[in-house]
Amino acid sequence: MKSYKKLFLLLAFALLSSPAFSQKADDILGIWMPSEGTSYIQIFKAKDSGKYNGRIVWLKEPNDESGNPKTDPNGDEILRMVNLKDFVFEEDEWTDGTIYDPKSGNLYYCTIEMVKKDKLEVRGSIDPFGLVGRTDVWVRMKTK
Amino acid sequence: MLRKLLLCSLFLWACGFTLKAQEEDSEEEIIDFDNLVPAEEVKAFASPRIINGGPQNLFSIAYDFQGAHDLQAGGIPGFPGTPAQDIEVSAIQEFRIDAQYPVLSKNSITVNLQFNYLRTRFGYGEDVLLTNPLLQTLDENGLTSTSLAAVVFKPLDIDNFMIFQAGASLNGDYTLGDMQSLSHTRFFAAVIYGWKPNDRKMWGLGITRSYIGGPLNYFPVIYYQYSSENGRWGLDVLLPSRFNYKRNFSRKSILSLGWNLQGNSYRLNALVNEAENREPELRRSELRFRAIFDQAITNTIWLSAQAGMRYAWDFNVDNGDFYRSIFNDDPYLFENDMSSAFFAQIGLRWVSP
Repeated sequence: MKSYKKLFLLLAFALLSSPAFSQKADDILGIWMPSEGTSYIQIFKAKDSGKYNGRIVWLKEPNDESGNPKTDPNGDEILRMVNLKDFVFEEDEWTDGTIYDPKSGNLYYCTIEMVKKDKLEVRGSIDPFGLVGRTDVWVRMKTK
Repeated sequence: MLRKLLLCSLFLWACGFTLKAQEEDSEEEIIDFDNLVPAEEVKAFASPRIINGGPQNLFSIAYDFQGAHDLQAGGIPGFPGTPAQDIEVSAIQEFRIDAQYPVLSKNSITVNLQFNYLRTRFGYGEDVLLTNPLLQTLDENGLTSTSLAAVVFKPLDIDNFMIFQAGASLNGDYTLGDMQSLSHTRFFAAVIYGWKPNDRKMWGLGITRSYIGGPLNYFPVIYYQYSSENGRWGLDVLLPSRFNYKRNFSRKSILSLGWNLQGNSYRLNALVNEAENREPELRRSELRFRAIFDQAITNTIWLSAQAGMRYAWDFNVDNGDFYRSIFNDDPYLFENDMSSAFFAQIGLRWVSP
């Protein structure tokens, strides 16, 4: 009886000390809104490579002041643009990918961490180690 | 039998078509985006930068050269061993290091640590007998300024933000091999409340405790960042310390025209013995009218060249560290007069694009 109690305590300790939230690779699939709230990005799995990409699927203001579709500094249309590329799932993170900022035209290294089921921390950086960069919080979008 | 085989083939083909359609649907789902809501409460924040605002400096080194000009150094009244002396300065050379590291950079707060090092050497040409102690220490020791600061950008929501700056600097006629006591550290700070009406404009009002005019002072600041709709020009303003009109020839080539006011109060350790019971501090402040050309070599390495005219806003010596308003006409410990000079600077910058 005493050994069962010990086992129970051990299991309880193991459960409590394990990460409160862990995720599977496909948990990232879906539509997400960056913190500025002016766009939605749909993360999908590439059929050929199995890597995770993201496409800008909605813009709060899709057209510029002249009524033309908004473009990045290279002249490419922002809506429908794939701006997250080549993420792989490793050790509870989606890594080795890149994020493109269509406002500035800059490409950054990127790592994505799911801090909650419906919340991502997306860190873009100028170095592959993520030392110099910025972290943005994205929230999952769902139907009303 | 043949009929069964045909039906079976049709069934398998139909299954394959359906599967393929599901794969495509996973990327190309038709979604009513107006019918979406965030899965949890989220607050939007203003970002600390504007579109086409130019790259953010992370680390830079620069060499600065000021051409020949006159310097009239005063003597300390009542101390015969400190005579006044007029001299032609052949050149002032400076070496600068500026570093900034974002220790915390999230959408809800950004914290940057800044380090600045400025080493100034004065050259008087050959065969000049120096009798004035200020000229002597400038010649032998030069001036050094080392500072550390933290800058916090705290967005309150999508439209409003605050900027806090606090820092400390050690300035004087010391060298790294012969350091100055940390008891002469000077502290500066600023706070700004700002608005960001759109991605191309942010502005704010605040107050600062600063030595940019030479002595300690408190004055209001105006912060203004603007980028034109076509991205070809913009303004980078932090009054009274800087005003830059920026012309973007491309995303990798920027010309800036404007001015910069910078200064510090430098402890003159070599003069402490000359002027007993006094704490001589050189109030050095320079107003520079300048043109800056920044050119990207790679995405993160930029070459920066600037040139213009340097006006000596202040080069007088006070006794100790105290608040001196711009209307305060109390006498200095002794006064100096430095004429204006041409300057040029070249540097390399490691930036975050």
